[in-house]
Amino acid sequence: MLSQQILNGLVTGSVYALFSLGFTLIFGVQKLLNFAHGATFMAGAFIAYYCTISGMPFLLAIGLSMVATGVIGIVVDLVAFRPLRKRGNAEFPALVSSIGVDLVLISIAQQVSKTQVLNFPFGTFPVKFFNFLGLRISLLQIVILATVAVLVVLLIFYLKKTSFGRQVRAVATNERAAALLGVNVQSVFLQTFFIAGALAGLAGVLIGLLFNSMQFLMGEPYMLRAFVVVVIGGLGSVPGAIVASLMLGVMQSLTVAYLPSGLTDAIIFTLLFIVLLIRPNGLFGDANAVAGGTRQ
Amino acid sequence: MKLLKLGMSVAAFSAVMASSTLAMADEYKIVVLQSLTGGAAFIGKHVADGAVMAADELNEKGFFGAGNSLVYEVADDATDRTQTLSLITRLAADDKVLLVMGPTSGSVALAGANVANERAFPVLTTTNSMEVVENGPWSFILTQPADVTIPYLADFTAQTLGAKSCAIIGVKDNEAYVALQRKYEELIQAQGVSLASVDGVALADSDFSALATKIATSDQDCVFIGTPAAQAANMVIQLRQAGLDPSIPILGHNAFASPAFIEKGGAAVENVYLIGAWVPGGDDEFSQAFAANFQAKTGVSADEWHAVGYSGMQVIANAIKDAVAAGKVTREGVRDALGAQTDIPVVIGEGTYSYDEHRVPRFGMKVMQVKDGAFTVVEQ
Amino acid sequence: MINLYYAYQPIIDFFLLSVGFGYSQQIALRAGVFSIATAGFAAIGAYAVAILVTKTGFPIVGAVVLGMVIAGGAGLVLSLPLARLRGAFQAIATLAFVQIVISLLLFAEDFTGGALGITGIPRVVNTGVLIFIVAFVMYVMWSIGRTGLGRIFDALRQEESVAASLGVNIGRYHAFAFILSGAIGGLFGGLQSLYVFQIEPHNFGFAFMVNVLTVVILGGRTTLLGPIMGAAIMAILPELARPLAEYRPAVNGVILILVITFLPNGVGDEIVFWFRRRRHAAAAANRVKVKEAKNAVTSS
Repeated sequence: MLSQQILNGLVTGSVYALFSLGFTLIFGVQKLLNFAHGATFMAGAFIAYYCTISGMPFLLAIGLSMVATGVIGIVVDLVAFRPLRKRGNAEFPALVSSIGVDLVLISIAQQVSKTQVLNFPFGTFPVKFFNFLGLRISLLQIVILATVAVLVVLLIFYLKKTSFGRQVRAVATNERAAALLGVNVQSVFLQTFFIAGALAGLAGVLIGLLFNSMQFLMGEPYMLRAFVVVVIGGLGSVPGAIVASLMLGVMQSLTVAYLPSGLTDAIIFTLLFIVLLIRPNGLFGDANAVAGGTRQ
Repeated sequence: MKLLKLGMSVAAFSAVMASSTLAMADEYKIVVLQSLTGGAAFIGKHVADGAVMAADELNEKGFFGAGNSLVYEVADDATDRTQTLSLITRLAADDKVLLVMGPTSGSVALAGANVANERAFPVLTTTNSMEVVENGPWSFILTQPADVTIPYLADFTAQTLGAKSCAIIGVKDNEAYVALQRKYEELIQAQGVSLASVDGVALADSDFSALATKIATSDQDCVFIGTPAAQAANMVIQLRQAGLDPSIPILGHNAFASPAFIEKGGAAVENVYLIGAWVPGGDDEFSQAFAANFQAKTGVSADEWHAVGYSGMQVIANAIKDAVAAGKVTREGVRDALGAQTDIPVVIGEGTYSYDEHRVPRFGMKVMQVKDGAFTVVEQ
Repeated sequence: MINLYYAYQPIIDFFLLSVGFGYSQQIALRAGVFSIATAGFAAIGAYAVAILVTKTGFPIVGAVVLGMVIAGGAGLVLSLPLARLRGAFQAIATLAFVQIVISLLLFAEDFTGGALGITGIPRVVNTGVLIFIVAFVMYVMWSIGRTGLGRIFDALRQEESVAASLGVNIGRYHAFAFILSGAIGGLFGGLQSLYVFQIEPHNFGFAFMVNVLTVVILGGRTTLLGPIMGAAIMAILPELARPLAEYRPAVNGVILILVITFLPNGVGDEIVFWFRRRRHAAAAANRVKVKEAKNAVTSS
């Protein structure tokens, strides 16, 4: 059972990674917490669902949902963050306004779904199981692991090797200097929000598919998990977020399997607390995200 | 008039009032206050829809005698204690309102009961919590407490299935579900069935992969799931996907008796046992007629909560009629008549609804099984 | 008039409770601490009172005071690690604190009743009690505002590095703000227990946090009037906008966005600031007049 539970945890953790990457990317670039990220994730699942039941091929539905959640990301930036950035010292106000966006998205989803739990129709994705070295793994789990791996590699390549990636890192390091060097900061923000939104949207679809359940509040627990991931991984650190997500997924599986039920959340958040105390920069944190630094 | 001024979202139903303003006609006014929105909307909205249909039918039939009618308004408790407290306080101040059918569930219902008892105002809450009844003489419950319903399932587990050890999966963050699960544990243990494991999930959870693997790889000869229907369907799917032995029976309480369970669970929920007060489609003349009419009127197939709302309104109407007959069309008269209702024909359970001497509702339960994608009564 | 009071009494009472929670949230924000821990403090106070009163027969007033002390103590303990953190990290850590409190309340069933919560709490709090205690808390907050402490909090909020260079011990004042936030949150949590008969962990979740935050953001983060205005608007809004009831979260969300963007100080603070500006302007105009008069005298 142990290896099977680790596998379960890795699959869940890989989706956490997809979700947390966008969150940590926004923090890395803007130093702001985007509380609407959970609702964006939920929106991704919802949009793909409604596209699928209206007869659209599933792959097209996923593509459309990623574009739509990318746009939602941009809207979040334009509505909730940009006006506050102009004024400076946006850290707390941005938290509040992104909670506002979160509530609006959740409320719309609540009305659209009439508070029902939705699930993709049977047969949206073939249910097929493989037995391998005593492990039971589904085709869907394999596809999810592969998709996340490919996307993560692409994202890292994009950030490290392309000119856009260099601009992103320049803005993350020093926004003003980057602007002086001719980087279009606003456009970098919009692009990171688009990428973050699209990744969250895809994560929503995958979770909806994996656990056949989508409802308007589904983003909240993942949002709380993302906090844990980014703190443990180091706010703004991409490799940290990936490692921390996988760790969290496995840990969660194991606590459910071996500890009294109901303690999982307490353990996870206590861990977050301890990491914050001992290593405020996260276990894998880079020097860019200094917890003790002065406010912007 | 006060009510209208207070602006509850009921404009649509005032038409009923307008059509029944015949001279000398008596109007008996009640308010259906249910969770039309918020967390308990999946119960409250359906109860309200069923109740409204029953009231309209009774008025059409001239149940209260020529010209007389039941006038109702539908209001929303929003699954919110604050809003409910102020709404009931205000309704209590309107002398015309004889009774409130609601609020729906949980702490909202209990808070409603408290105000009702403070203000001597009868409320019939949808919940099955005995605390509402114990709160005072003015607060009633519409559905049967776990003490009444769960024995049907526990006896079936221990006697009919002959199970020796059960894995229990419950919801840890909803009091009503926790209470049902506790009762089940207690009753099967009393009959010599041991608990192989007890796990709790949150209502918002959907990732049961770790839990499913744990149960699929453990030893037990029955699995009890105490969650709402859609979540339970999902849980069964994940249990099957994790490789749970298909010969191990899965059982659930009356929350499963919803079309959503089969719709969401598909082939995976085949053979699952459950108890329910409502057999979808109906199982006698009255309930089959209700199912057909409801489908025709709303385009939705009636579920357990629609049927409960419909049945609840039958009980209320009979209580009011009795109060009228006794010449006491007052809140007190209605309260006394309500608590004295016995053998009222309803569409749920074993077909008749009674309050016993402790004001505990009794209408029975049926053990059912999913067969070929439909609930069928298990003959014992 | 009496009837009107009866009809709206629960709204008035919940308004008073919101004001109390608002002050707990406000005192932290005022000192520049990005805490969203009020939900956790309220839960601690509420459960302390509920457990003491229903299970031990502890005198009610004593239970409320003890609940307040325990929650204040939780604030102190929480402030120690948090002093090392800033900004977003404080927000995350306090959020984690609330999650830990809630999951422990759900877990420790024997003690807290788990999801069932605690029922049968005597209802002894009424509007009068609430008004009295809110007034008392306002007096405490007002006193703080008048002393050096208030100015230090303001300095910490506006420019922490300057405050530090002036020799202000930031950690100590943040701890003080946390203790106050905890004590006020715990106090009103306890009062809520004694008002609503029954509590469960779910009462202190994300929705509670958002509501308290909305009250303070909408009302204002620095003045006494802030939480009152915020709580009043939040209490009246659902009554005015019943047709919008289904969209209540969205309405809250839009309010949060609009207020933080266009009225960043909040309604209550803006009103107070407007009066202050007017008074200053009047005083300045007065000085000019006096000066002109003097000039006129000397030049003649």
